[in-house]
Amino acid sequence: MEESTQTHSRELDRFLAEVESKAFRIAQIGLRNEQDALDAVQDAMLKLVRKYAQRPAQEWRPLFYRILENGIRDLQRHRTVRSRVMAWLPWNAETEDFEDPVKLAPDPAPGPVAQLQGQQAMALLDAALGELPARQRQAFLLRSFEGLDVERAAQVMGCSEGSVKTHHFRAVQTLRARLGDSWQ
Amino acid sequence: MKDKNGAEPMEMDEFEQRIRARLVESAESLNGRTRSALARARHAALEQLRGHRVSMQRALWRVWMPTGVFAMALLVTFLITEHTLPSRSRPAPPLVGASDDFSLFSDPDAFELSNDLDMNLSDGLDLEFYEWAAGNIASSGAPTSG
Repeated sequence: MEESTQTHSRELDRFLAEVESKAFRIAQIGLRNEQDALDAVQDAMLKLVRKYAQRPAQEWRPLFYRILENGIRDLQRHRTVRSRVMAWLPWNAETEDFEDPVKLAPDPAPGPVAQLQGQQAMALLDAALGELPARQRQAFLLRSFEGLDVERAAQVMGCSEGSVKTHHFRAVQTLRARLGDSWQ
Repeated sequence: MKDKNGAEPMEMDEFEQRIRARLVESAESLNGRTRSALARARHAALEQLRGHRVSMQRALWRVWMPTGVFAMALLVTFLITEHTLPSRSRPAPPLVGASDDFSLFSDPDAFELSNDLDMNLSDGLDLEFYEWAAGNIASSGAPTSG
């Protein structure tokens, strides 16, 4: 009994370790904020473990991403409401866009031109992905980044497989138009 | 060929593959602070799983312990009742001489005799009858009816 519990816990640990980086990037692109992205991923992990830990391991991935997508959407809504309320409070206007100076400081790692170009390309990609409509962004990241098949992506998004294909196709078209076909 | 998730790998054009490669690279090169925060989040979630299991065991124990105590109390009560008050729970033994009573009621002569005897007894001891019965016993060794 105890041994199976430990095995189960190890499997969950392995699964979460495997998805956490991609999940963080998906949340970061959707929320455009590192701390919010960390909160969304942590919340998704807690909910998965609390509610679905006993489910078969092959169900964890779509469940986890579904929870994460719901969390991202909730945070976006919350932020929209908060920003509308804060817009009426002039004394909060200055602190709203406050950025941690540590985050703004340049990376101490050596920054060759190639790395700079890579960072710029990455920033362009993040911006382009962030500007996609939510459903297109979900479909693209789940399919092209996380590698879910159409069926599982549809489970995560709560829509038909046809919708997933449509959203994904449109996302690719939009990205191609924004980044240029030769983007790299 | 299916991937580790059991899904068919999707066909991507070069543009998509470049995007995917960039995204994967960015996920793999997260800074130490972010990695550390993610690891902490994961451990917190798994700790919750262990805590949840312990609390489930405690909850089960909290439910089953009073139930067991109650069942034990019922059993002890039953055993005590069974051994100290046997007449309550055990079936009454069959009446000895019930068939005699039945024959008494079914025979009209015997019934009259019984009534006479009862009436005599209610007035006082029927000494004549007892003297006659004692005489019979002395003469024959056993009383004779009639």
